[in-house]
Amino acid sequence: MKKRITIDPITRLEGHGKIEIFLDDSGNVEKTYFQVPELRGFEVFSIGRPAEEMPRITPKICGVCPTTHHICSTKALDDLFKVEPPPAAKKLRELMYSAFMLEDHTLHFFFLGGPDFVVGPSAPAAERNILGVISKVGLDIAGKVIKLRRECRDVITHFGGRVIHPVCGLPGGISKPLKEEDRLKIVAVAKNGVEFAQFALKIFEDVVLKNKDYVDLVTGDVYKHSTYYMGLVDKNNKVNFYDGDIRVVTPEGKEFARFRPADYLDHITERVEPWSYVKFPYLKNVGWKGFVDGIGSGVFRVAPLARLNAADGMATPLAQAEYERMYATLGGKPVHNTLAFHWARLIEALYAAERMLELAQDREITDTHVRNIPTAIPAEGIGVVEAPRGTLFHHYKTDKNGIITEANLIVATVNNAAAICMSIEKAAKSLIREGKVSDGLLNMVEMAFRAYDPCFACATHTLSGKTALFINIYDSNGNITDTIGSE
Amino acid sequence: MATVTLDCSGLRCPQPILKIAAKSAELKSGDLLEVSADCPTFEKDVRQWCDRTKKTLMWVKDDGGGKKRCQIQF
Repeated sequence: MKKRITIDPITRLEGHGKIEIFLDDSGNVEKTYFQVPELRGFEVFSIGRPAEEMPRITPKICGVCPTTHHICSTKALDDLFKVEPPPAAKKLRELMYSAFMLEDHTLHFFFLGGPDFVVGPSAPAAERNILGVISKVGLDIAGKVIKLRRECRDVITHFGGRVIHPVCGLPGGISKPLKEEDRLKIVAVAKNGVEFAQFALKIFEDVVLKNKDYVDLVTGDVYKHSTYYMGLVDKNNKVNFYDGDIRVVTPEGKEFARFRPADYLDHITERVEPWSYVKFPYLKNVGWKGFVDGIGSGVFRVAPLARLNAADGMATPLAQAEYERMYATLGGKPVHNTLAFHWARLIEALYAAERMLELAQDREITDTHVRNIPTAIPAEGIGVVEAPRGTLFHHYKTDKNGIITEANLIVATVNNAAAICMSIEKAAKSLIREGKVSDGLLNMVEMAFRAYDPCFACATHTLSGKTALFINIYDSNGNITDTIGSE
Repeated sequence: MATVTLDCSGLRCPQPILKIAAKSAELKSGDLLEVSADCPTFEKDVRQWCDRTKKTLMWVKDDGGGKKRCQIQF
C-alpha cells in the first residue's frame, strides 16, 4: 500500500518549508516534493515606491540577512543613479558586510547545521539543537559563540544605525564616516573573529573529520550532486562577497562563464513549478532538463561550497590555507559533496574575519569623504552581492522621477532551489527502504537541505498575482467547520 | 525662462537631492529651480550637487526652524 510521509515544518532553517515523501507499494521512495508554502511578494509591492526607499524596504524581507539585502539594494541604487562611492565608503560597506558574513556563518554552524554533527544525526530530536550543542561542547565554548556574534552585531549596529534592518547605505556612499577610536575597537573585534573562525574549524576537524562515520557521510554518494557552480570573484578569480564578476564553472571545474552582474539576464533564467512558491533558476545557455545533475543540466549551485568551487582560491592567507586543505582532503576541485558546504562555510567565516581585519587596519577607511552626490536621471540599476546563502540580485527599473516600475529579486536561496529538491529526493531514496522510517532517518533527509543554509523567508515571490491562501476555521474540538479560499 | 519650485520638506538625505536630479530632466538651460527642505545636510548636499553638475547655485536662505531654501540656475 502506498504511503505518504510529511515533514512539516522542516526545522533549523530560516523561513518555512515542508517535505512530502511518497513511497511505492514496496515502501521505497517513489517521489519527494520540497515545498515552500510561504509567500513574500516584495517584487510586486515595491512597485510605485521611490527607489531610494528600496534599501530600507527590502531588508524587511528577512530578519536574518537584512544586511545583505540592504547592501545589495544600495549597490543597485549606485548603478541606478550612476554614482560611484568614494573608496572609504566602499571599504566601510565591505567591512560591515564582512562582520555580517562572519556572524551569519557562525549562526548556521552552531545553531542550525552543527547540531546534526555535534549532537549526532540520529540523536533524539529534543537534543538536536543549540542546547544539545551547548551540553556537548560546554558553556565556555557556547559563551565564545554568543560573544563573537554579539560583537559582530555591534559592528553592524555601529554602521547600520540599529541592530537589524540597517539604514546606512546611500546611493553613492554611506551615511557616516568611521572615527579612529571606533576603528580601533573594530580591529579588536576582527582579531577575535580570526581566532574564533580558526577555533570553529578546529571543532569541525575534531567532531567531523576525526569521525570515520561522519567522513563517510560527507564523502559518500547519498549527499552528492555533480552540478555547475556560481559565485562572485575578484580580478584574480578569488572569492569576494561584496563585488566583482560572476563566474560559473562546469561540473568538471572548467570556467563556463564569467560575466558582469549587469549581464545576469543573459545567463540566468527562472522557471516555476505548480507545487511551490519558489522559482527555479537555471543556466540559460545550458537549458532546463529537469531536476537532474550533470553537464547537460542547467541546474547550478551557489553559497559557500559553490563559491569555493567557482573561484581559484581565497584572497586572505589563513583562509587560503584552509581552502587548500579542504580540497586536498576531499580529492581536488570541484567538490560535489553537499555536506562539504558546512566545511566551506567555516573557511568563508575565516575569510570574512581576515577581510574585516584587513579593512579595519586600512587607514584610508577613516577618510571622512564617504559619499558622492548622485547627479544622473534614474532609469535602471542592478546590484549583486554574495549573501551567506549564495548570489543575490536586486534589479530595479524606474520612471524619470525615480519611482520603481519593475523590481526583480533573485534571492540567494532561490538559486539553489532545484539542487535542494534533488538533494532531498536523493537522500530520501537512499535512506528510506522497504518502508522503514525513523525520526533519525527523516532528520538525515532534512540534512540534505540544511547544508545549503536555505532562507525561504527571502526566497518566495508572487507568481500569478493570486495567493493560494486558504483559511480553516476550527471549532472548540479542533474540527474544521469552514474553509475560506482565495482562489 | 521658467521658475519651478520643489518642496522637499520632510524628506531626509538623500531624497531631496534625488528629487532635484529627477526634476532636472524637465528643466531647460536658464530655468530656475527653487527648492525648500528641512534635511540637516541639505545645504551641503545641494552645494555638492551643483558643483558636480556645473549648475549655478544662486543663493541659499535660512528660513528658520531648520528649513532652508535655495535657487539653482540650469
